[in-house]
Amino acid sequence: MELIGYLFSWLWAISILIGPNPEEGWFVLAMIFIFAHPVDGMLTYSVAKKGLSPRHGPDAARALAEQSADTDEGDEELLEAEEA
Amino acid sequence: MSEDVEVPTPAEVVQSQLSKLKLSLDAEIPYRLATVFAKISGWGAKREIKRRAKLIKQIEPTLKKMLLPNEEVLYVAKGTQSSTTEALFMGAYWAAVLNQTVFVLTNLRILMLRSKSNGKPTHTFWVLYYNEIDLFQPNWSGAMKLKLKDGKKLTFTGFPKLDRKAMPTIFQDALDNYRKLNFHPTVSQSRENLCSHCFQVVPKARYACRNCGSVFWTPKELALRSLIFPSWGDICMKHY
Repeated sequence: MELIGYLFSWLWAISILIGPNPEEGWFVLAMIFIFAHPVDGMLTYSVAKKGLSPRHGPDAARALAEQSADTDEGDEELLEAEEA
Repeated sequence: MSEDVEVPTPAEVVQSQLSKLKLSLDAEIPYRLATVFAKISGWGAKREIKRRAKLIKQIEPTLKKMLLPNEEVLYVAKGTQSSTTEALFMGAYWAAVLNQTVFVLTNLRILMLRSKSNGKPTHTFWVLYYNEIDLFQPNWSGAMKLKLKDGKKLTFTGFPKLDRKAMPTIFQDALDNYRKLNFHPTVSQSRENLCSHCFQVVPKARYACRNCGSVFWTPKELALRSLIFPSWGDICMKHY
Protein backbone atom coordinates (compact mmCIF):
# COMPACT_ATOMS: atom_id res chain seq x y z
CA MET A 1 0.00 0.00 0.00
CA GLU A 2 2.78 2.35 1.03
CA LEU A 3 4.74 1.39 -2.07
CA ILE A 4 1.74 2.18 -4.28
CA GLY A 5 1.39 5.61 -2.63
CA TYR A 6 5.10 6.27 -3.11
CA LEU A 7 5.01 5.26 -6.79
CA PHE A 8 1.97 7.48 -7.34
CA SER A 9 3.79 10.47 -5.85
CA TRP A 10 6.65 9.80 -8.32
CA LEU A 11 4.21 9.54 -11.22
CA TRP A 12 2.67 12.84 -10.14
CA ALA A 13 6.10 14.50 -9.96
CA ILE A 14 7.07 13.13 -13.41
CA SER A 15 3.76 14.24 -14.94
CA ILE A 16 4.47 17.80 -13.71
CA LEU A 17 8.10 17.59 -14.86
CA ILE A 18 7.10 16.85 -18.45
CA GLY A 19 4.38 19.54 -18.32
CA PRO A 20 4.69 23.28 -19.00
CA ASN A 21 6.07 24.11 -15.51
CA PRO A 22 8.90 21.63 -14.83
CA GLU A 23 10.11 23.74 -11.85
CA GLU A 24 7.04 22.62 -9.91
CA GLY A 25 7.93 19.00 -10.66
CA TRP A 26 11.41 19.50 -9.20
CA PHE A 27 9.80 21.06 -6.14
CA VAL A 28 7.51 17.99 -5.70
CA LEU A 29 10.52 15.68 -6.10
CA ALA A 30 12.44 17.69 -3.50
CA MET A 31 9.49 17.40 -1.10
CA ILE A 32 9.42 13.61 -1.62
CA PHE A 33 13.10 13.36 -0.73
CA ILE A 34 12.95 15.86 2.12
CA PHE A 35 9.77 14.58 3.80
CA ALA A 36 8.62 11.16 2.57
CA HIS A 37 12.00 9.40 2.84
CA PRO A 38 13.03 10.57 6.35
CA VAL A 39 9.51 10.11 7.75
CA ASP A 40 9.37 6.56 6.42
CA GLY A 41 12.85 5.89 7.77
CA MET A 42 11.82 7.10 11.24
CA LEU A 43 8.57 5.16 11.18
CA THR A 44 10.35 2.00 10.10
CA TYR A 45 12.85 2.48 12.93
CA SER A 46 10.08 2.87 15.51
CA VAL A 47 8.22 -0.21 14.23
CA ALA A 48 11.41 -2.31 13.97
CA LYS A 49 12.49 -1.39 17.51
CA LYS A 50 9.43 -3.12 18.98
CA GLY A 51 10.42 -6.67 18.13
CA LEU A 52 12.52 -8.98 16.01
CA SER A 53 12.13 -9.35 12.25
CA PRO A 54 13.79 -12.47 10.84
CA ARG A 55 16.54 -12.00 8.27
CA HIS A 56 18.14 -15.44 7.99
CA GLY A 57 16.75 -18.72 9.30
CA PRO A 58 18.37 -21.16 11.74
CA ASP A 59 22.01 -22.07 11.15
CA ALA A 60 23.86 -24.48 13.45
CA ALA A 61 27.29 -23.05 12.59
CA ARG A 62 26.13 -19.51 13.37
CA ALA A 63 24.58 -20.67 16.65
CA LEU A 64 27.90 -22.22 17.67
CA ALA A 65 29.72 -19.00 16.75
CA GLU A 66 27.23 -16.99 18.84
CA GLN A 67 27.68 -19.30 21.80
CA SER A 68 31.47 -19.16 21.61
CA ALA A 69 31.34 -15.36 21.32
CA ASP A 70 29.26 -15.30 24.51
CA THR A 71 31.74 -17.61 26.23
CA ASP A 72 34.65 -15.38 25.15
CA GLU A 73 32.90 -12.32 26.55
CA GLY A 74 32.31 -14.18 29.80
CA ASP A 75 35.96 -15.28 29.95
CA GLU A 76 37.15 -11.73 29.39
CA GLU A 77 34.90 -10.45 32.18
CA LEU A 78 36.18 -13.18 34.49
CA LEU A 79 39.82 -12.36 33.68
CA GLU A 80 39.19 -8.67 34.29
CA ALA A 81 37.54 -9.46 37.61
CA GLU A 82 40.43 -11.72 38.65
CA GLU A 83 43.01 -9.08 37.69
CA ALA A 84 41.14 -6.46 39.69
CA MET B 1 -33.14 -42.37 50.46
CA SER B 2 -30.49 -40.00 49.27
CA GLU B 3 -28.84 -40.05 45.89
CA ASP B 4 -25.45 -38.50 45.19
CA VAL B 5 -25.72 -36.03 42.34
CA GLU B 6 -22.40 -35.32 40.71
CA VAL B 7 -21.96 -31.66 40.01
CA PRO B 8 -19.85 -31.14 36.88
CA THR B 9 -16.69 -29.12 37.30
CA PRO B 10 -16.41 -25.81 35.37
CA ALA B 11 -13.94 -27.47 33.00
CA GLU B 12 -16.42 -30.27 32.31
CA VAL B 13 -19.14 -27.73 31.61
CA VAL B 14 -16.86 -25.93 29.13
CA GLN B 15 -15.91 -29.24 27.53
CA SER B 16 -19.56 -30.18 27.05
CA GLN B 17 -20.31 -26.73 25.59
CA LEU B 18 -17.41 -27.13 23.16
CA SER B 19 -18.67 -30.59 22.15
CA LYS B 20 -22.20 -29.21 21.67
CA LEU B 21 -20.82 -26.52 19.36
CA LYS B 22 -18.64 -29.12 17.58
CA LEU B 23 -15.48 -27.29 18.57
CA SER B 24 -12.28 -28.98 19.64
CA LEU B 25 -8.96 -27.80 20.96
CA ASP B 26 -5.56 -29.42 20.59
CA ALA B 27 -5.31 -32.13 23.24
CA GLU B 28 -1.53 -31.68 23.47
CA ILE B 29 -1.89 -28.14 24.80
CA PRO B 30 -2.85 -27.92 28.47
CA TYR B 31 -5.69 -25.42 28.76
CA ARG B 32 -7.34 -24.36 32.00
CA LEU B 33 -10.74 -24.39 30.35
CA ALA B 34 -12.60 -22.69 33.20
CA THR B 35 -10.49 -19.52 32.80
CA VAL B 36 -9.90 -19.66 29.04
CA PHE B 37 -13.66 -19.68 28.47
CA ALA B 38 -14.75 -17.23 31.13
CA LYS B 39 -18.31 -16.88 29.79
CA ILE B 40 -20.13 -20.17 29.24
CA SER B 41 -23.72 -19.28 30.01
CA GLY B 42 -26.12 -16.45 29.46
CA TRP B 43 -26.78 -14.17 26.54
CA GLY B 44 -24.04 -14.26 23.88
CA ALA B 45 -22.15 -17.15 25.50
CA LYS B 46 -22.23 -19.36 22.40
CA ARG B 47 -20.91 -16.60 20.19
CA GLU B 48 -18.19 -15.83 22.73
CA ILE B 49 -17.11 -19.50 22.95
CA LYS B 50 -16.99 -19.77 19.15
CA ARG B 51 -15.01 -16.53 18.84
CA ARG B 52 -12.41 -17.59 21.38
CA ALA B 53 -12.11 -21.15 20.02
CA LYS B 54 -11.54 -19.70 16.54
CA LEU B 55 -8.76 -17.43 17.86
CA ILE B 56 -7.16 -20.32 19.76
CA LYS B 57 -7.24 -22.52 16.63
CA GLN B 58 -5.25 -19.85 14.77
CA ILE B 59 -2.43 -19.80 17.33
CA GLU B 60 -2.34 -23.49 18.32
CA PRO B 61 0.41 -24.65 15.91
CA THR B 62 2.72 -21.85 17.13
CA LEU B 63 1.65 -22.08 20.74
CA LYS B 64 2.49 -25.78 20.87
CA LYS B 65 6.12 -24.95 20.04
CA MET B 66 6.27 -22.02 22.47
CA LEU B 67 4.99 -23.64 25.66
CA LEU B 68 7.38 -24.98 28.27
CA PRO B 69 6.85 -28.30 30.09
CA ASN B 70 4.12 -27.91 32.73
CA GLU B 71 3.05 -24.56 31.31
CA GLU B 72 -0.72 -24.19 31.28
CA VAL B 73 -2.74 -21.77 29.17
CA LEU B 74 -5.06 -19.63 31.32
CA TYR B 75 -6.37 -17.09 28.85
CA VAL B 76 -6.15 -16.08 25.20
CA ALA B 77 -7.20 -12.67 23.86
CA LYS B 78 -6.39 -10.38 20.98
CA GLY B 79 -5.86 -6.64 21.08
CA THR B 80 -4.05 -3.91 19.20
CA GLN B 81 -0.99 -2.13 20.50
CA SER B 82 -1.80 1.50 20.04
CA SER B 83 0.80 4.00 18.95
CA THR B 84 -0.15 7.63 18.36
CA THR B 85 2.90 8.36 16.17
CA GLU B 86 2.22 5.43 13.88
CA ALA B 87 -1.50 6.24 13.69
CA LEU B 88 -0.64 9.83 12.78
CA PHE B 89 1.85 9.05 10.02
CA MET B 90 0.57 5.72 8.69
CA GLY B 91 -3.11 6.22 9.27
CA ALA B 92 -5.05 4.63 12.11
CA TYR B 93 -6.18 1.65 10.00
CA TRP B 94 -2.70 0.56 8.88
CA ALA B 95 -1.23 1.17 12.31
CA ALA B 96 -3.94 -1.07 13.77
CA VAL B 97 -3.42 -3.78 11.14
CA LEU B 98 0.30 -3.77 11.87
CA ASN B 99 -0.01 -3.93 15.65
CA GLN B 100 -2.45 -6.80 16.18
CA THR B 101 -1.23 -8.79 19.17
CA VAL B 102 -2.48 -12.04 20.67
CA PHE B 103 -1.99 -12.33 24.43
CA VAL B 104 -1.57 -15.80 25.90
CA LEU B 105 -1.64 -15.74 29.68
CA THR B 106 -0.14 -18.89 31.14
CA ASN B 107 0.61 -19.97 34.68
CA LEU B 108 4.26 -18.93 34.15
CA ARG B 109 4.27 -15.86 31.88
CA ILE B 110 2.51 -13.81 29.26
CA LEU B 111 3.30 -14.71 25.67
CA MET B 112 2.62 -12.03 23.10
CA LEU B 113 2.30 -12.93 19.44
CA ARG B 114 2.16 -10.34 16.68
CA SER B 115 -0.68 -11.47 14.44
CA LYS B 116 -2.77 -10.77 11.40
CA SER B 117 -6.29 -9.41 11.86
CA ASN B 118 -7.69 -12.95 12.05
CA GLY B 119 -5.31 -13.86 14.87
CA LYS B 120 -2.87 -15.93 12.79
CA PRO B 121 0.62 -15.30 14.24
CA THR B 122 3.22 -13.62 12.05
CA HIS B 123 6.88 -13.77 13.11
CA THR B 124 7.37 -11.42 16.06
CA PHE B 125 6.99 -12.77 19.58
CA TRP B 126 7.61 -11.54 23.09
CA VAL B 127 7.53 -12.91 26.61
CA LEU B 128 6.64 -11.00 29.72
CA TYR B 129 7.00 -12.35 33.25
CA TYR B 130 4.24 -11.26 35.59
CA ASN B 131 6.68 -9.75 38.09
CA GLU B 132 7.92 -7.39 35.36
CA ILE B 133 4.53 -5.67 35.28
CA ASP B 134 3.87 -2.74 37.58
CA LEU B 135 0.39 -2.03 36.32
CA PHE B 136 -2.03 -4.06 34.20
CA GLN B 137 -5.48 -2.58 34.15
CA PRO B 138 -8.10 -1.11 31.86
CA ASN B 139 -8.55 2.65 31.88
CA TRP B 140 -11.74 4.72 31.55
CA SER B 141 -11.63 4.61 27.72
CA GLY B 142 -11.51 0.82 27.57
CA ALA B 143 -7.82 0.65 26.67
CA MET B 144 -5.59 -1.80 28.51
CA LYS B 145 -2.61 -0.12 30.15
CA LEU B 146 0.59 -1.96 30.91
CA LYS B 147 3.33 -0.28 32.88
CA LEU B 148 6.49 -2.35 32.99
CA LYS B 149 9.35 -2.45 35.51
CA ASP B 150 11.87 -1.07 32.98
CA GLY B 151 9.72 2.05 32.54
CA LYS B 152 8.06 1.05 29.27
CA LYS B 153 4.38 1.84 28.95
CA LEU B 154 2.24 -0.13 26.53
CA THR B 155 -1.36 0.59 25.62
CA PHE B 156 -3.61 -1.97 23.97
CA THR B 157 -7.03 -1.34 22.53
CA GLY B 158 -9.65 -3.60 20.98
CA PHE B 159 -10.03 -6.00 23.90
CA PRO B 160 -13.68 -6.84 24.57
CA LYS B 161 -15.05 -5.96 28.03
CA LEU B 162 -14.83 -9.59 29.15
CA ASP B 163 -11.09 -9.69 28.40
CA ARG B 164 -10.49 -6.35 30.10
CA LYS B 165 -12.07 -7.75 33.26
CA ALA B 166 -10.56 -11.25 33.18
CA MET B 167 -6.93 -10.51 32.33
CA PRO B 168 -6.06 -8.27 35.32
CA THR B 169 -7.56 -10.90 37.66
CA ILE B 170 -5.43 -13.67 36.16
CA PHE B 171 -2.40 -11.37 36.29
CA GLN B 172 -2.99 -10.68 39.99
CA ASP B 173 -3.36 -14.40 40.80
CA ALA B 174 -0.20 -15.23 38.86
CA LEU B 175 1.70 -12.45 40.63
CA ASP B 176 0.60 -13.82 44.01
CA ASN B 177 1.89 -17.23 42.94
CA TYR B 178 5.25 -15.71 41.98
CA ARG B 179 5.49 -14.18 45.45
CA LYS B 180 4.61 -17.47 47.13
CA LEU B 181 7.17 -19.37 45.06
CA ASN B 182 9.74 -16.56 45.34
CA PHE B 183 10.13 -16.71 41.56
CA HIS B 184 12.30 -13.91 40.13
CA PRO B 185 13.44 -14.72 36.59
CA THR B 186 16.37 -12.69 35.29
CA VAL B 187 15.66 -10.58 32.25
CA SER B 188 17.52 -8.13 29.98
CA GLN B 189 14.35 -6.03 29.55
CA SER B 190 10.82 -6.33 30.88
CA ARG B 191 9.31 -7.46 27.59
CA GLU B 192 11.84 -9.90 26.16
CA ASN B 193 12.06 -10.65 22.46
CA LEU B 194 11.66 -14.25 21.42
CA CYS B 195 13.36 -15.90 18.47
CA SER B 196 10.92 -16.34 15.59
CA HIS B 197 12.12 -19.88 14.97
CA CYS B 198 13.00 -21.57 18.27
CA PHE B 199 11.15 -19.19 20.66
CA GLN B 200 14.15 -18.80 22.97
CA VAL B 201 14.78 -15.39 24.52
CA VAL B 202 17.01 -13.10 22.44
CA PRO B 203 18.35 -10.52 24.93
CA LYS B 204 18.03 -6.77 24.48
CA ALA B 205 20.15 -5.24 21.70
CA ARG B 206 21.03 -8.68 20.29
CA TYR B 207 19.95 -9.59 16.79
CA ALA B 208 21.06 -13.21 16.55
CA CYS B 209 19.70 -16.22 18.39
CA ARG B 210 22.41 -18.14 20.25
CA ASN B 211 20.19 -21.22 20.36
CA CYS B 212 19.37 -21.74 16.68
CA GLY B 213 21.58 -19.19 14.90
CA SER B 214 18.73 -17.21 13.32
CA VAL B 215 19.63 -13.64 12.42
CA PHE B 216 17.31 -10.64 12.69
CA TRP B 217 17.29 -7.22 11.05
CA THR B 218 18.49 -4.39 13.27
CA PRO B 219 16.23 -1.29 13.41
CA LYS B 220 19.05 0.79 11.87
CA GLU B 221 19.41 -1.54 8.87
CA LEU B 222 15.69 -1.38 8.24
CA ALA B 223 15.43 2.38 8.75
CA LEU B 224 18.31 2.96 6.33
CA ARG B 225 16.54 0.89 3.68
CA SER B 226 13.35 2.88 4.14
CA LEU B 227 15.31 6.12 4.00
CA ILE B 228 16.80 5.11 0.65
CA PHE B 229 13.58 3.73 -0.76
CA PRO B 230 10.34 4.10 1.24
CA SER B 231 8.67 0.76 2.02
CA TRP B 232 11.89 -1.23 1.45
CA GLY B 233 12.22 -1.62 5.23
CA ASP B 234 8.58 -2.71 5.51
CA ILE B 235 9.12 -5.30 2.77
CA CYS B 236 12.11 -6.65 4.73
CA MET B 237 9.86 -6.87 7.82
CA LYS B 238 7.27 -8.70 5.70
CA HIS B 239 4.59 -6.10 6.39
CA TYR B 240 2.57 -6.89 3.32
